[in-house]
Amino acid sequence: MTLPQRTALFSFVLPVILISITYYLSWQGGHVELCNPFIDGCEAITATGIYYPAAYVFRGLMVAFVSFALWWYCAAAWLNSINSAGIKPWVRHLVIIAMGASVLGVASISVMGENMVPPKEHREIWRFHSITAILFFLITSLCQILMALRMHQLRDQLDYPRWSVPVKVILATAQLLTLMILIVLVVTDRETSEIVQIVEWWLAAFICVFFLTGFWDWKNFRLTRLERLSPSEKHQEANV
Amino acid sequence: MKTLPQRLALSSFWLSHATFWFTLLLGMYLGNTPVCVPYISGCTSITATGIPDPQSFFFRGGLISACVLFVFWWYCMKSWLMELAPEKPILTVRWMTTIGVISSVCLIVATAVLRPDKSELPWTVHTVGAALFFLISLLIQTRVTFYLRQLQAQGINIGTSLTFKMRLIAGQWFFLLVMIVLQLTDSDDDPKNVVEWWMALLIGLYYLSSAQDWKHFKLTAD
Repeated sequence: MTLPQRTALFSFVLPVILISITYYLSWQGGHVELCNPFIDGCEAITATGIYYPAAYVFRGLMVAFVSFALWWYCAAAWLNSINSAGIKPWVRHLVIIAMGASVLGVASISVMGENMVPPKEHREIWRFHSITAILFFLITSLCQILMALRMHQLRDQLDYPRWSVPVKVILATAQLLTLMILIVLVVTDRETSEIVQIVEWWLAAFICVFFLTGFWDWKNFRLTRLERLSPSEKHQEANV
Repeated sequence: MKTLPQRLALSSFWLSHATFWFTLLLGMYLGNTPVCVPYISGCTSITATGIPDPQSFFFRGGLISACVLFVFWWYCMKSWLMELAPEKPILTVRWMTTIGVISSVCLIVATAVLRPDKSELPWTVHTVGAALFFLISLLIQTRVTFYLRQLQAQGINIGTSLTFKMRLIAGQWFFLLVMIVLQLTDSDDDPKNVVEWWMALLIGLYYLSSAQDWKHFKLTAD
């Protein structure tokens, strides 16, 4: 498995494992209800990571956010690898903005813990967490939508499975629709906390699955010269 | 234009230490930490700067992110040595990324369990995690430095930082011995804090020292 593939897999698996553990720990502690949040919207992702010991585990999500940033670096290097002239400036800016969104994600998690309760007494921390988390979701979703578009444009030049672009386009469209539904509900003042939480869970799932698709895209993509060689070639080179 | 490995070397040091220094200064400004130079007086530990809110927010975010950079620094070091080595490198080099992951995970755990209410803080987890990070980092950095010296003796160009790296390693072993003596003599916290700050600085400088060696080393397949 190559480093880019590991990054793609890690960016999906780590958040899934950590949020599952924190949900279980928070439920055991009596802080959240046991339900299917993708359908009921009974709990926000944030709610699973407030009380200790779940909050300790939840802080591990900061590692996932740094991994997302590396995923974007790999994506830029991958697009760069097909064109000696380099990637287009707007794609480079897109990658930088997406990496910035990952920093916002780290910031949103870094303030979490029992210092957030009771919420009424800690409005500033809640506001900071909410703004940074919302910006992370919005920016990452938009960047993934644009990345899917760019991959669609380069579909004849890039080396990846045929199903990958349609899946990315579906994921990107789903993110766009989810965001639009939320915006319409907020503008018409018809949003409820359950709906917002459902949207949050689905957006997080779409984002993570999008990162995971890189696992199949990057089967033949290597970051380093050494990784490009097969074991026999490495052996030959070592003997030169 | 700096290469990605150079940027990783620079950011591994600067992100971790800017986090320490910023939380220290913020603590002094807010009155949570005495105004002093901890490298000399040992008036506060690194841990203590990251416990109270709001310093803890910066401390967690900065240090946990830096730990991920340490992992990639080890990945760079491994790739670089694999390219330089005329024959199959030693086992430590081949397992370098894994060892780097283990030491970083130890520090991530030690950082993630910090909370403002000290009485509830799981001190054993924190102390064991932090101590393991220091020890594993020292051992692997020592092994890599001696491997680099071996390569240099074979006439391979390993850059210019070897002498500096040797000094950093010697400094870390010296401070480790001092810490052992302080523990055995049941010393006060202040001298132990001095050792902790210096150990962290030397480990960080080791990461930084590779920036000059990796001027022409790219983490892309050119």
